[in-house]
Amino acid sequence: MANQASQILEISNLCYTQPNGTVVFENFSVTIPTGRFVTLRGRSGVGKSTLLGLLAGHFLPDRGQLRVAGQPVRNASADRSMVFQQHNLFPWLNTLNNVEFGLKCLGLPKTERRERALKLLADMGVSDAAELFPNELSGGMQQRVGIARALAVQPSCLLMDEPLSALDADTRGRTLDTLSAVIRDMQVLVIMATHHQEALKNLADADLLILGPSQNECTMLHPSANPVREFTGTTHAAHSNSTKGL
Amino acid sequence: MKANSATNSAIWSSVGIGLFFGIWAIWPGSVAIPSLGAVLAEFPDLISSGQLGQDTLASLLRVLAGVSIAFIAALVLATGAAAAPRFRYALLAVTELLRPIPPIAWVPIVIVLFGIGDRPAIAIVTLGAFFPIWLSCLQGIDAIRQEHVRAARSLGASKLQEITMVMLPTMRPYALHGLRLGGGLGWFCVVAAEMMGASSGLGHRVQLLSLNIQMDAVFAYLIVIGAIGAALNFCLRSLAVSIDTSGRAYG
Repeated sequence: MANQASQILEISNLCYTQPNGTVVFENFSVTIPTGRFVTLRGRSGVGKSTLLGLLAGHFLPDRGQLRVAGQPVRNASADRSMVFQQHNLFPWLNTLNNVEFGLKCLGLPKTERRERALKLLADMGVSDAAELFPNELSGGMQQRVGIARALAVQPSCLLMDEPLSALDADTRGRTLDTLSAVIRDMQVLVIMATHHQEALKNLADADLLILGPSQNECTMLHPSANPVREFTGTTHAAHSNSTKGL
Repeated sequence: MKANSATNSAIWSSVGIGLFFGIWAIWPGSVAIPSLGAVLAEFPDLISSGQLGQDTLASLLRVLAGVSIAFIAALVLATGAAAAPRFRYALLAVTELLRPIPPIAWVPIVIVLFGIGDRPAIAIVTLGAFFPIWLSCLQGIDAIRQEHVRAARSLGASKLQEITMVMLPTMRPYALHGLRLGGGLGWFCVVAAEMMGASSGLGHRVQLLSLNIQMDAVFAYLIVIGAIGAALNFCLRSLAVSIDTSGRAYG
């Protein structure tokens, strides 16, 4: 508990039961002290998306506490913006207005909004798409716009829920290259759920948090690739709603 | 292919209208259904006396007032219902109870409430136009995606911004569709309401003319009522399409 502010991610005694009664976390705790990238892995159904939703503040834990970059998570905030598995862009807004959405919420003047949005679209390599609507974009472009939208609000933490899984291998690699280049210069902590091996190669200094194999268990790996710590919470054996392997 | 089908529809629409009036033109005329020639002969007088223009204007203004009130009321309620699901269920139950009552059935009540004149007719138009607009708005509420609301929250949207920047834009095409349906029904209702409790307007005039068994003029008015209703529908559809495509068709 000492020196909390320097710990990038701290989850203590997290309990969360889904509305349908599925227990996802029971007294789950983990701490990641330093770093800028955390990749979340684990078989489907183990709770990666739920954990990201909890970190985003989309769901509230039944008990326990989550801290991101020293700040307790109490509700959803632009400080922890999110990139979704399905792009989740607003279909009634064009690309530029999608990226400007958060800046409008934060009350930035129009010229500044436009400037920042155009810069990010250029960084993500989708300047040409500024006037197009989401359903006119390819899957890779949609995801790039989604990333630009989430980065526009200059969050201290970027949460990414399988941002690459809807893309083909080639597009995935290029999107990831752009993403790593863009966030390299930003002061942003990235927490990404992914089951793609190449995500780890690109983000070479990423911490790896593997959820599972059972509920409430996780393994943490540091870039040195040695298991630094292994943590096991209260195993909740009764739950298994997924049989799909890693 | 698209241009072709548009031309096709224009041609066959004209054929349909032509056939309709063509058959009427052959009709020799009776007391109840006069000949086309006799009906058309009524128009120069009706127009030059200014009577047709005044009646049309009176009815149009009532529809405009009634549909506007209905649209605003439906939008206000729908916004509340989108923000608070409980409110929505409460309203839905009342809607199901009131919706089956034909708007015309309210005429005796609104006449007792408002007397004779503009206000009862406007009230009937409002009642008639409200339900289609409201039901369309409810469909719009169903179209609001929780994922979009979450995305907005994670981009810093306040509760009010969730409503104005996510919920209302999602509901917009549905509300416009409802406006089109409501406009048509409003026109429907104004004529009926004017026949029962107004001292001006197209419906009132049809009522007077039919009491005098001036069927030529009655039919001239019916043609005008039909034509304006069709034009109204066309305008509202164009409006809905043009506003909708400013965000380009999505779905």
